[in-house]
Amino acid sequence: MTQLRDACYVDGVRLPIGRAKPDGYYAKTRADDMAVRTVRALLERNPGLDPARIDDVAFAATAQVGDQGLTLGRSVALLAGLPRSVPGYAIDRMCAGALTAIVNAANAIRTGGQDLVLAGGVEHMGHHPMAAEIDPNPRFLAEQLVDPSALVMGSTAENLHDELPAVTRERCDRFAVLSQERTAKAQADGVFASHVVRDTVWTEAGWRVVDRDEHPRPGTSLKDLAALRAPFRAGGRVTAGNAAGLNDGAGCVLLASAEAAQGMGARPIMRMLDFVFVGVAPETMGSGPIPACDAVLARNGLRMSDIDVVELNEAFAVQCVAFLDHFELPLDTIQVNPYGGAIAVGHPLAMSGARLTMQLAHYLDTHEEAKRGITTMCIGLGMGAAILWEKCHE
Amino acid sequence: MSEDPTRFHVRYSDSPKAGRLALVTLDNGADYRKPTTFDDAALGDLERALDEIEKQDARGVLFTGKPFIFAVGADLDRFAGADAAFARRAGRRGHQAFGRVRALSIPTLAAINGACMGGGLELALHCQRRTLAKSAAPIAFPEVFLSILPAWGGTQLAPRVIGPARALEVIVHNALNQNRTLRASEAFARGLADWLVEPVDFLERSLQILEALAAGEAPAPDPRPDEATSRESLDEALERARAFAEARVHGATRAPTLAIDLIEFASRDGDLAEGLEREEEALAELLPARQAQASVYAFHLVQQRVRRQPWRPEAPARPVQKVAVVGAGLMGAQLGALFLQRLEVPLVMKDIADDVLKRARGHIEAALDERVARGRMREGKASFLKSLVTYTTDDAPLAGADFAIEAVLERLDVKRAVFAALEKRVSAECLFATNTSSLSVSAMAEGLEHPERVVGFHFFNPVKVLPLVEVARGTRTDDATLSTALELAKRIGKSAVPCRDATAFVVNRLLMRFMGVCIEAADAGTEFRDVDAATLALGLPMGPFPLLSLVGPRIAHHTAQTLHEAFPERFPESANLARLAESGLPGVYDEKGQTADAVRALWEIRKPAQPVEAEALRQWALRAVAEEARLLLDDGVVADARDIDTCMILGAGWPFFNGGICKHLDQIGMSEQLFGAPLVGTRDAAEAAPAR
Repeated sequence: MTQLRDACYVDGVRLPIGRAKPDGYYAKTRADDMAVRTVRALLERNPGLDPARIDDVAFAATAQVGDQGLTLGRSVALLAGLPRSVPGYAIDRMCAGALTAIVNAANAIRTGGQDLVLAGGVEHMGHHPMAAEIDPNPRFLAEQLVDPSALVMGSTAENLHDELPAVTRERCDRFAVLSQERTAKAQADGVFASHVVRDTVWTEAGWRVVDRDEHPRPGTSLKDLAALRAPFRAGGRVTAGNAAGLNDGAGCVLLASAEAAQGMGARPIMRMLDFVFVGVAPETMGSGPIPACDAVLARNGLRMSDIDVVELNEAFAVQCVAFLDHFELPLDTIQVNPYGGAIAVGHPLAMSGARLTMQLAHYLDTHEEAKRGITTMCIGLGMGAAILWEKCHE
Repeated sequence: MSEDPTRFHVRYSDSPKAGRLALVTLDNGADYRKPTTFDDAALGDLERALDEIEKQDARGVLFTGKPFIFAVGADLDRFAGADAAFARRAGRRGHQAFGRVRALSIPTLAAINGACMGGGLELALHCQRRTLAKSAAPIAFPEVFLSILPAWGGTQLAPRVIGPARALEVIVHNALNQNRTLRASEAFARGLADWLVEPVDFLERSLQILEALAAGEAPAPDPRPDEATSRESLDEALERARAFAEARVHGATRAPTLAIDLIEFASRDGDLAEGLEREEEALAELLPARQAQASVYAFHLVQQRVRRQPWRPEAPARPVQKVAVVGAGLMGAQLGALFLQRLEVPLVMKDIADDVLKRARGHIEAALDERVARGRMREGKASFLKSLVTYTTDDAPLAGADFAIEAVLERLDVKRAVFAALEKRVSAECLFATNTSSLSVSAMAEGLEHPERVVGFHFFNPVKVLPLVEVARGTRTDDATLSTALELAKRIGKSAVPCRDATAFVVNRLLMRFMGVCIEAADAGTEFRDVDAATLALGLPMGPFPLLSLVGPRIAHHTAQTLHEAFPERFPESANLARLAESGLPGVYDEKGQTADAVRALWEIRKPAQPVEAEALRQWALRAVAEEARLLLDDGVVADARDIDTCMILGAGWPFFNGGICKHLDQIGMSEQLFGAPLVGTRDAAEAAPAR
């Protein structure tokens, strides 16, 4: 087997995540402008990076239309003022768009084809509600290739509850409270300030500076969550309080070969060891992270106890609790989502993988004893992703 | 009450480094097509915003605009009919509100994100510092062009911020040079901003600078491009400005004079408060005066009305994908170059002489090369456009033309022959346009199988500079042809005014009427120089005799003859002009600007000589033009007096501050005196129905 190089995470930034509502942060902001802002911020933070040496710009979005269309990576490169010689492309794997962009970028570097790549994701769910611009093939249902519930994410979560009775609503609500608490603490501790960059957005009342996430509800209690109704099923368990919201956001990471990082005077934080994408039953898409992590651990001769930190996307509390149960971890384990997650902070579809990656990097960089981490997500239409990272040693 | 009131929205951002910062957005709730302006209510809103900011204990304030627009000054609609008291109040109001911005003890930064003119630029100058986006344009003080002056502190602050010479350049010279505006890089070079910023990061970078200022740092301004330092003293700069203003307007409006006086006051360390009071006095004199009122009227005509094309018939315009120019002489070559650059469609240049075609080719290709040299066009594109042109003495390549314009000899028989030959080659829908200045469009259409596609399309020299095209409708011209002609004029960046097919249409008829009076005055023994001086005091761009040299005595005489044939009582024959035309002399003046001896020899003066005194000459000339304008309207040559004014401004360069000419005649009471009513009615007749 050919020797692979290291693909290292050097830096990452994201915008504050907004609510996908008419009065949300980004209601009057274009998705591509949000992506451009992340690229500009990366350039500003990394003055040693010569833009002409960027080999590619990979940007993900689920809805590849309108202000998120036009071959996003290339458009964003031009709009961000990168030299015309820098190419770019767009990518889509629903929730794991940015994650896939990061994997592609890392693989290009590992094989020696590219040295410096920007990989990110953006989703403006206010402008592009999920599935609003989609035309599902009638064969899906006519030939019973999938169950109708597979096309509604909340319903897949209810389906998962059906399969795992041990994952009760009460446990899910407790998980949700933890997400809010940890997010609030991370905000207060300045964790997000290390990689969340402010943006100036247009509103009906003039320009506005946004510098922190819009979605969190700190102080949320179990009582608050218990009172919420379940919109996907009568008497159901999935609520707005124990699921991620509908959000707008953008994030981008800078990946480099070890030599390129050195050449720009930057310190590589972590390197990608391995990656797995699997398909699972679309009706219970939330189970995705489980087989994905099982596979990536097995392939590398590791167990979950060898992993110091996991950034698991919280599309729904049910799939997080299912994950914890599978790996025999307590509900409040600090090993998973130490900085809270999507239930509190939001889940702009294609962008979340970038957020998970940045948070993982921050954890590894600020915890001396931590060595290995995994970013993992469940994905619509039934998939799971798991990326294995290892801290770079000086 | 304004439809789109300007608000000063205030938002706050808490910066860890600098504390609470106020972010003020100027917005009128409309998009860039309705730029943000200031009226009394807007200034009130600014004061309200400042009150709030003071209460919030902000550490710094940033002002910026809605996308593409910072602010473009006072709302001109408020100016019509203003009196001295209103003007004084308006001046005071702006001083008060903007003065509060200047008086803030915390750092203020104007983040100029887009168009910034007049009061908008004044607001920016009241801030301590300014950032400017590279994409922002236009930047200007257009007030003097409108016969007022920057009266919200501009005349006092500009010299303090950018120096007296540059203040004079921006406020006086640019305004009187066809209202020249600046691009961001030019504005930055002149010191109007401290930082020139990439548009993509503009607000973020501006915020960072404000943070630095609020935190007590001294962020260094961006280095300005090296400019050769002028060794001109203040006195020299002022004298140069005064000489320039005199040469431009000959005292016909006091605006440049007062502006220069105010800039001088500031430049000689005049007290700011007193300087602002003087601004108020100056505005009180200028705004109600007829010059400013006429300028507002003119502004509306050329910026809004003529672009709307109110006379456009409903018939849809036909596409124009191939153009032919018949007659490739000086005029034809200019037309070819214009059509090629603006339309970028195949072009046929036809002439009977090879050497004429060769010269035309040289002209057309040189025009493209010049654009490439100035970085306005890629070389590959220029090559492609050159390849679109066919130069031919043969008729065959004319096939397929949608629009053919003739610029051949000014003789009816020649033009009719051209059209007859053309008709054999092109479709029935191809427009036959004539650039004639005095022959009959209807006569040219006679005998053709399809006369309805013939239309006058009269340009003014130099074609590159003068924006007017008179679109003359013959008796048989149909609606589709008129629509197509009007649409085409738009596409080539010209302002079209439709008229009936009357001799010499509008501009040349009025100019010749005017000229006729001047020639009669010379015939009576008035010195040519004195005639010119008398008329320049009206504010015209040039005197009649330099104009005669520019046009050429031969052509002027030809036009005069044609008008004499059409309207003998009002356009008498001039034997002197005929002799001058025949003599081959270039005009009445020699190279030294004196009356040429040869001219004195041939110009017969009536005996006894009775030179006409200046004021009497002006009255006489104005009465003649008034009479002719009234006839143009009564005969339905144009729909409305506004059309006449638009033509004289855009085709003859007659000044904004006369509102063309009809507005001027109304303002000085001559229309009332002669006709019992103003020429410019309250109702715009062109809105009522398209030109018939």
